[in-house]
Amino acid sequence: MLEVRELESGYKRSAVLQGLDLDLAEGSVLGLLGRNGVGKSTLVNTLMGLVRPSAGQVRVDGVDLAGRRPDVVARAGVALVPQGRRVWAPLTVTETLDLAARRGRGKGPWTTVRVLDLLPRLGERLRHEAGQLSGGEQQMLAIARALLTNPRLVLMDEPSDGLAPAVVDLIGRALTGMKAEGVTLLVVEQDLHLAFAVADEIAVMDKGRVVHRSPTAEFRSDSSVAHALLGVA
Amino acid sequence: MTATEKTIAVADPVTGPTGGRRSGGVLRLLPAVVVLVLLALVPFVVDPFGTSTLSRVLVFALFACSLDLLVGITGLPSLGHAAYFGVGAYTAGLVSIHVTAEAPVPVLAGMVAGGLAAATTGWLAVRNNGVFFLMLTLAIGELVFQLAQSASSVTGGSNGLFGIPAVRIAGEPLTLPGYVYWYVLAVAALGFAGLWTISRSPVGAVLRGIRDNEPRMRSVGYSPFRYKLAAFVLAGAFAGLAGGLFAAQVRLVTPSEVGFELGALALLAVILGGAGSLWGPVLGAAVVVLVRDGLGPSLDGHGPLVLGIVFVLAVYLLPRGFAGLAGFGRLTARTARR
Repeated sequence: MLEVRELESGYKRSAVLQGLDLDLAEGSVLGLLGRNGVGKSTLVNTLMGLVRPSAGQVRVDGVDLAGRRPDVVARAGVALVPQGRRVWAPLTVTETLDLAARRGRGKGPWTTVRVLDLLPRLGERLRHEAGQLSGGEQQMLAIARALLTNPRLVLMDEPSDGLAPAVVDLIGRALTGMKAEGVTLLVVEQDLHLAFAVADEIAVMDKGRVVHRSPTAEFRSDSSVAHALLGVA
Repeated sequence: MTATEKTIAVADPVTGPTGGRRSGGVLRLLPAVVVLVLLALVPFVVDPFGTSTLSRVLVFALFACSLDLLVGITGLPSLGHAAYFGVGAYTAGLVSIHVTAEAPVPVLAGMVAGGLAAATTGWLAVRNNGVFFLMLTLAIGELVFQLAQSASSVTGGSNGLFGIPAVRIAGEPLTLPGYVYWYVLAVAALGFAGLWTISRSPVGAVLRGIRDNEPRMRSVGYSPFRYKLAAFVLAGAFAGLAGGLFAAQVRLVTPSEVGFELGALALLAVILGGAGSLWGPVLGAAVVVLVRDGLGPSLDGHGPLVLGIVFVLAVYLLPRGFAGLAGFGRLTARTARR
């Protein structure tokens, strides 16, 4: 469903993505790994339309979305769970869910009830302002906000960033639940355990390109790849 | 029904009944009703000058609240908002002179004119943010000010538009300050209710989301331009409504009602009161009008100096305005209960 060809993108004079190719099948989960600064977040932001590419194609179900505005990309069925959550601090949980649900109503299976069943902690915080939530709860809210738009593809930028291990487990369970529902996921992650737990395949980026891709089980069994590309044992 | 569904049924207006929220809403309305009743009693206990001053406070408060929709709710600080107040005032005055002074036609005409003027200029202004938006709105304000000065055949030029007849209700002219005050109070209360409803509606939530993080609002599929333009037009319409009330109360409209100073004073009222709260700017407007019109004359025209000192003190002592004090009070009460 996602086809990325020869994608080049970056910031002002700094070219970060340099001819990146990537494919993602419907219902699959890809864990995207890489050292800091290799372009993982730039890729996610470029796919979402937050960073304008200088060349290349981004197709979702055959529709070229490269360089389109984020609201156009979102309406085409792509959702983003950004790094650092970026929830709307002054809005309550209910207001946030309502805003997202208005965009996704009637477009797919995700309703507020279903999302709150997946992320029950949010159900206890409905009247709280998003800015008052803990980091883990904000991450759940960011996931709920993305799901309620009923996307065909969810881009997740470091969902475990800055969270305690117990909370990362909760987020992992939520991702597994999304996977079971058939949501297509591109998960940029530094936490290998979380990536291995949810991803069907692992891709590794280096210098603005995808330099390795293999099924998760194969990647885990060959520690030399992780050592060479990520610097971990 | 699962435990989660039960929770939503009580508390979540997204999908279920909102009974709990509605009963809380009625209780929240109680202070507003009490304030409204107390304000309605003012002409019985205050002299005509005091009543007229309070009418000016109400008009300016509605204007400041319309600016708060832009500044506090949407995050678009404007220096040219007086343009729409002035357009509304001139339109209401002209309608009263040439068409009818029968309520509520002049103020509604002012409201429509303010909204149309905002729609005409807003499509350009809201494409920008921050200092660019500020400068564009300042330029628009100055353009309208110059137009009010130069189009003397319509606006009366620097002499102003005078000879505006008293507003009429069922053919009876409202000449006594008390009657004019009640008319201003009724229309202003409806204006406040309208602005409050907008700020608490889903559109208001989108506007607050845009203020907090515009790119994220785009990422969920919203086009901020449309919502910002809608906020700009609505703010212009309510400023026009306030301008129409001004014309009914003062019965003279001059170019100063379009000028930078009035817009800057409204911004001061919003900051003093607490941007984004809507009720805070009402208090801010009261302080501004009372210092300017009440204290100023006794200080040999140095009211603006006092306002400047009040502003500096407010920035340091009340960074979130009077509304911030209420928030602090609620926090203290919660802490005490624990």
